[in-house]
Amino acid sequence: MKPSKSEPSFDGECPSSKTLYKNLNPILGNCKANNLNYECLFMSDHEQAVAVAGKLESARLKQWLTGKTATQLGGLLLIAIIWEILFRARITSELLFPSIIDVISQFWFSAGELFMRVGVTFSYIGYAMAISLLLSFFLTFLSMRFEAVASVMEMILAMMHPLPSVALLPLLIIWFGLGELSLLIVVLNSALWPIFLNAYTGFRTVHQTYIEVGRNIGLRGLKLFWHVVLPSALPYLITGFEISWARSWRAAIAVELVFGAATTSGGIGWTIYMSYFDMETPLMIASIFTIAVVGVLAEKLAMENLEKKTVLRWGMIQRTETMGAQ
Amino acid sequence: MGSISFLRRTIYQAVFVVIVLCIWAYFVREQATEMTMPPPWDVGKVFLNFLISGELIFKLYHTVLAIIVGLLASIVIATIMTTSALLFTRAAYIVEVLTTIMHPMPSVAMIPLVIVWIGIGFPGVVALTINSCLWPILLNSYTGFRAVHVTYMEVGRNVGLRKFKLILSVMIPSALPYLLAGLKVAWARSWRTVVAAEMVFGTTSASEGIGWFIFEALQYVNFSQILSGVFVIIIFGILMERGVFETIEKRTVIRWGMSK
Repeated sequence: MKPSKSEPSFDGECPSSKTLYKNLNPILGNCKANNLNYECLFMSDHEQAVAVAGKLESARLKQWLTGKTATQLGGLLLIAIIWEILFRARITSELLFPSIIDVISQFWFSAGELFMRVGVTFSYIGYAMAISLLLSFFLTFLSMRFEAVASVMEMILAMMHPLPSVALLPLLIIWFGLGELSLLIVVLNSALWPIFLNAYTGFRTVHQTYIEVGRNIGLRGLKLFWHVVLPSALPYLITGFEISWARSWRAAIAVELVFGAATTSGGIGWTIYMSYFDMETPLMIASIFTIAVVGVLAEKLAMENLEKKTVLRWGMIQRTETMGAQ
Repeated sequence: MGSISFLRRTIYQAVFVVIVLCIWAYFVREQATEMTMPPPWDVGKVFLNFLISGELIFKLYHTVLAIIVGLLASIVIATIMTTSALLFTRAAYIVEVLTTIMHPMPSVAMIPLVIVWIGIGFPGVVALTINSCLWPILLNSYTGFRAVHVTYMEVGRNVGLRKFKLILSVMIPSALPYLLAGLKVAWARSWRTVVAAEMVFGTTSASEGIGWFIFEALQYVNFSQILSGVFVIIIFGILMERGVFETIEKRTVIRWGMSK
């Protein structure tokens, strides 16, 4: 393809518009296919190739820039910039409103310590959730065996499930003092009821047919439980687990905040409280960042995979966008 | 829970309550001092006194007022954000990243920040309420409106509905299960957050809520007052969850056959 760049000459036969179009059409088609405009008529093959590559590159860049990730990063960056402008405008003291750069560098330098604090909080939550898992299995077993236990548990559940567990804190402080035991009991109280409610509902609603099929193929006792009852109650158990995680995470932080400076407990909520106490605002905001990061990681990595790997893959539930745990 | 008859269940529950009260009374006589555990009748008397003098209702009113103001504000904000997210793709991206970060975040963690920036008083409590209500409401309304079936919209258009009428009589009803779920989560979260916030705001503020009522009692080791506060919180929680939300659901989405 080498269209002439010289002036068109009318020396010879003047080509009719039809033959001109016929000759140019493949080249034009080529230009169109490469997303170039008609300037490509005056380009060499190599130039065309370069232009096409450039176009592709810029198209890709444009796509990325208007795409999801860039928009989201841009939005977050915009918030950071507004923050910094507000800081530079000195509307209030640096003590109350630190620079975002300070906050980020604080987060960077004390990330190790902050995540260690998260680990301390996690250890309470882990204990509480393990205990409440065992306890709720036990209570469910009793409730399904004995009507009396079921009635009483229903009453306790109705009372305790909507109760904010921090409200129990003053009672526990009087009884057990400001210590790890009170903290553990509050977290346990917020972890237990969602798990129990869901375990009870889940085990009670196991389809009778499944159990009979299991019996027919010769499963008995523990094997029946492990292979039939547990898997079919699993969607409920996972839901309970998720709600219980969300609640106990909130409760643990709330308790550490309310206990505040008085304890030796070194969780992430305590870090927030201490940095608030010492007016180390950058550290305080960095700890709040840490909590946000942990929350996102837990929700996105742990909880979603828990469902994906089990009940979703087994086709027991459809993929629904969750409505959020309480 | 239908398998146990109402009468028998009530009897079991009543027996259990009586046993607990007996153990409590016995324990008080044998072990505890007046300070750490007054007998049940004393607690009952104090509770009735607070109830009759209207103090408990007053404290509860303050807490609930803060929640309602915050809830209304977050409904307005969520409406604006959902509308823009549904209209513009970029706004949707921003809304998604914000909810991803802020929705799993416990708003109790924000308490010190709110104290530093806004202060300890009614505005602080409202700000915390907005933070705990906004994200569940936003997430659910966005998801709900996006999940509206195209067929419903087309049927609505076919019968001649346009714009606001279409929104009002097709989109909102079909997103209602999500909207109600969002409201429920928002209520539960803000209730917890506000009670915790009133405790932390506590000693230094003139905060008037039920959380403070309990925590104030801790300062004087007034056991009966603490228990009265906890009772009220339990009763109000049951009223809201069993009474208000279940009634709304029964009247709307369950009756319309949209959810069980």
